[in-house]
Amino acid sequence: MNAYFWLIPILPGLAAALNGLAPKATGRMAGHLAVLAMLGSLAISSMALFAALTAGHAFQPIDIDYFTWIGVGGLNIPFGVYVDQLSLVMMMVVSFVGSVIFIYATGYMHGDPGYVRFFTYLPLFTFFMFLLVMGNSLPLLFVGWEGVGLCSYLLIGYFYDRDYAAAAGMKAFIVNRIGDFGFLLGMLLLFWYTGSLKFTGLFEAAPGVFTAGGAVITVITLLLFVGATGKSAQLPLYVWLPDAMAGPTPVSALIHAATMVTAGIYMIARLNPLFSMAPVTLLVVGTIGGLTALFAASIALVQRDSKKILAYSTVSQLGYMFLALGSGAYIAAIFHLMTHAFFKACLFLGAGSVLHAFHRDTDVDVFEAGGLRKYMPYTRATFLIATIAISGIPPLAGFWSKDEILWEAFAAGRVFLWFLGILAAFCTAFYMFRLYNLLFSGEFRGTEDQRHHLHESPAVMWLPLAVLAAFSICIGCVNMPLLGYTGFHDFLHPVFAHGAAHGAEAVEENAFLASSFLSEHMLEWIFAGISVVVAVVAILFARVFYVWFPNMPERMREAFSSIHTILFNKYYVDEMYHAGFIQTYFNGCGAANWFDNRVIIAGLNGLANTVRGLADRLRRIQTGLAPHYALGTLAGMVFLVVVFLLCY
Amino acid sequence: MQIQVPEISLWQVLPELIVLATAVGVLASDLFVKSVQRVNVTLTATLGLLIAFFTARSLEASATPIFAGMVVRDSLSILLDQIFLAGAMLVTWIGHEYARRNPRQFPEFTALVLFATIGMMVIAMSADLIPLFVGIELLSLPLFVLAGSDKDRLASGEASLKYFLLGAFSTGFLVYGIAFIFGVTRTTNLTVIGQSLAAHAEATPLLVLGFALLLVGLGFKISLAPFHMWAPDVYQGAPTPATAWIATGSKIAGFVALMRVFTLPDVSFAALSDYWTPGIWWLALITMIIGNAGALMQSDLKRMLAYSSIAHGGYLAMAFTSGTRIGAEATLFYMAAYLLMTVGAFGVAIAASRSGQECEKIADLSGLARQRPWLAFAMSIFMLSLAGMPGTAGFVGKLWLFGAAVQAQYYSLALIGVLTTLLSFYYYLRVIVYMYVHEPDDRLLFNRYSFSNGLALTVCAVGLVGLGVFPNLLWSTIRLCTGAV
Repeated sequence: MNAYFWLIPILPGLAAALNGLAPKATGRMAGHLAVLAMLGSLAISSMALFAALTAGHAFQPIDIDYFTWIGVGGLNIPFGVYVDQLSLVMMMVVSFVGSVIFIYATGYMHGDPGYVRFFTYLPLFTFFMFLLVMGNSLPLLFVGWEGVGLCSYLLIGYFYDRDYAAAAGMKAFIVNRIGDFGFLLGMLLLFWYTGSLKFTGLFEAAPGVFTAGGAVITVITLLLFVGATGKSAQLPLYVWLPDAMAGPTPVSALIHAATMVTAGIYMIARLNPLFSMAPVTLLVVGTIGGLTALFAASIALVQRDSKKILAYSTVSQLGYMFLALGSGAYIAAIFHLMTHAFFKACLFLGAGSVLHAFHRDTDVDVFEAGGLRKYMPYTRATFLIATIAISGIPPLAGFWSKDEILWEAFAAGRVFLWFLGILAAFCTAFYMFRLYNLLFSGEFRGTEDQRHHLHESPAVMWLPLAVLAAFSICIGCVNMPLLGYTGFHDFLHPVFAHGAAHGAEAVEENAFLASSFLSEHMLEWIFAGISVVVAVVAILFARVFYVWFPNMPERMREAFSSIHTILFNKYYVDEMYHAGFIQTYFNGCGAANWFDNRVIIAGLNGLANTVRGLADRLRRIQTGLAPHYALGTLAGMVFLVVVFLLCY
Repeated sequence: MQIQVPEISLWQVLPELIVLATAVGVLASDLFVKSVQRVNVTLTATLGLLIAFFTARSLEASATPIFAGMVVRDSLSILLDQIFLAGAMLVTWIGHEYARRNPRQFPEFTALVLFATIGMMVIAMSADLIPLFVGIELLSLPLFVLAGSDKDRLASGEASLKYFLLGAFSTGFLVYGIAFIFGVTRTTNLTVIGQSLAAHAEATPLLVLGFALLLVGLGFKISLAPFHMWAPDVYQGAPTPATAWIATGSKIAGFVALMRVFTLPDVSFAALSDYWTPGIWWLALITMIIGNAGALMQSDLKRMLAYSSIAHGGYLAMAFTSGTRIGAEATLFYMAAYLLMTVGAFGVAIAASRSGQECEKIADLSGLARQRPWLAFAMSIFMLSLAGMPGTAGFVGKLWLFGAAVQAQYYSLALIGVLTTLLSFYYYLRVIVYMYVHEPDDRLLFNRYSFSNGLALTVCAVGLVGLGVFPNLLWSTIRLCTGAV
């Protein structure tokens, strides 16, 4: 089995190469080729997972070096894979959700003039994503990290003839550069101190080199976290993700919801032995996560574009995952990552299905839709399931993972994080049902012409939706601590045991928990109850606002017009960035331009003219007459003899 | 009186004999076979060169001189044989089409290239100043003829005459230098000289004078300034395939001769390096400046490449001056890279002809990327490699050349080298600008280039990128050579 791991990234890489290099040959088959490659990767990943599950506790992480990638002096970075339980979960998420979305995309992108180009970038993305989650060293992870960033850029700007898409692509790329700079610095510092960048070597060396809670490890982990905020769209670098919705919808589902944006969470979970040694960093991670969760959710409350709402929802849900990481609940974070991948992909693809019915590429104003349940029954059903899942209603998947995060945060003594989380949970349930109600309930509010064209998507699109919806229902059952079943937790536990053993006491015990007269299990039930009640109340609110009293939103908007304006304009963050950074940058560019024109270019022109004059004069020596040349040779001989004899 | 008959082991010079047989065969075929097909000539030459190449590969290296101490079959000579044979093959391929377009020079063209190749191979294995001189003459005479082989063009005849006159002039210095050296050391055998120097390293003014005159003669061959002045005129006037072989084979052979005389430890004047390095130091400096400054303003492609070739001679001389092992290794590596990029550049100049009009000006390449994208792509690789862009063999080679100079503490020389390299980007990139940015100035289409030319260009381009990314492919062989000598 282990001998075939290299095929997992190579298969989609091969598909990308074929489609990219021979677009005419693959043509209409490009999509099928890509799907086939992904199914191959899925098959191998599944077999690997099955082998790990049957091995149980006897399973040992697999570390294979294929060849030396960089060998310079003391630096030796092999090209190889590291497959443990964490990688297996990520591989399964990428290959499974990826396969489903690929299949959907063959229908969604059908007839698009850039079909082959699309199916070049998308498999290339999965190639890099597999590299990211399977690489056995930080540099290899970084290659995948940058590679998925590149593909993200290419796919956001897929409709390159539209200005906003091209601009969104650049925005994503540039904002990520800031994060990557931090990541790179952290990586270099790690190498500086430990002399190793392979995960195994790193984890072995770390306890000896760093003191738990010390300044060095705190700085390193904070720098790495800066990288994570860029890639996983957290405060203050989240701004690129909402704009990234300019890409085709399958891209939003795969890259900007299910896989790439979770790379930051994966990276922190992968480096948990390091992060566990830096309690300050964990506090920062959790706080940023909690704030982002609430911040993004509040923006999502009032947006009008269906994909934008989902994008802010993604930012918010990623915030939950960081909240969990910051509470030391790595497994809860990965669990939520997994469930989120399914229901958020389902939501995005559902939104894509609606766009398909509207014959649009990127945006539909939700107030133009409505009543779609009559026209698109399958899309509506799957969308509803995923909406319930993300809102945290048991027994669907989202409930189990989100509840575990909130409970772990509380149990770890981070009560304020729990509070942020529960507020965000309220917002989540509200804006998701707002979106659902506006799209599918009531009567159609668009034009007659649009209504005429409304239709259910073909089976190649709604079948993937159904698969994702089914998983949104049941994937939570792998970990149900309330009912005493913790299979997922037990499976992943070995990955995080090492760090827990060597880490500082990252999180203090909750005093309330210790003194409470209720048993821990009872409290867990009570907290789950609170979550559910909050979600149900939010759903009722959404129902009241958008179905039973349709003029309520308008009145509320007037009553709270200032708040609405701030939220609708996303707290003016983009404007602030523009005034603060971009304008300053342009001013600096102006100054540099002046310097370049007046000093450098002027100086260089002077130099160039001098050289040119010299060259011209040299050319005149070349008379074309052989006697002159012979004279030159003679002069050279005299010169040489003089030099030789002088040096004698 | 007993006469010692020197041991004759012909199988050790088998590659040279195979090339000789091929050359004679090609020349003779014109006499005996009516209307020889051009393609047959090229195929025959290719076959002969291939056989010679693999024969050379299979030879066993030995540091013991043979033929009464005249030549030595060490691993250096075996490696150089392979470089020369491969170069001759590439030149034959790019010349195939040119000769077909100008049928009056055939098949002497191919035969002359092969004869010159034998001269180079003789230089590569010389262990004595006499075969060294014979090799240089054997190399020069066919090249004089080649330069004038385009009988319809006046410029070609002029080039040939200039080349011959100045060549004869410089050969005088060479012979004079050898005579001085013989006068002082009482031998022409480099092995004997090396051994006596190992015991007692001292120079006399007369010997140093001999060095200076020898350097004038060899400096002409490798067109070091101020002995370079023939090069632009000859390169421009000679038929392009002949130019390619003059620019590469002859120049590399000249450096090999310098190496045989000056740098090989224990079998040359290496022990007296304090006496001969200052002279070469100055020549390298002047050559780098003059070569690059001269190329800057040229509008003629071949003339630009001539000055570029002079400049590269300066870089090579810079590393050569260091006299160290790394310097010799860098020189050898750069020779191979230089061969590929220069033959490639001239190959493109041949291929980029329009109907009835050879490519002469750089402006003649305008719009090449539009009509012959692969040709323009290959030319870009050659230009970038000549400029020393990372990812090409030109970069790796230059890195080692400059590294050798820095290691020998010739900082000012290395600095001038880097600065002039920066300068060179201007005229190399200008070619790319013409190919990709400028529109073709008339409606004339570029000719289709022949298969053999395409093959040669592919080999050059792939080789340059391959050596640029995996320099160890060649580097390890070179290290083996310098370790052995």
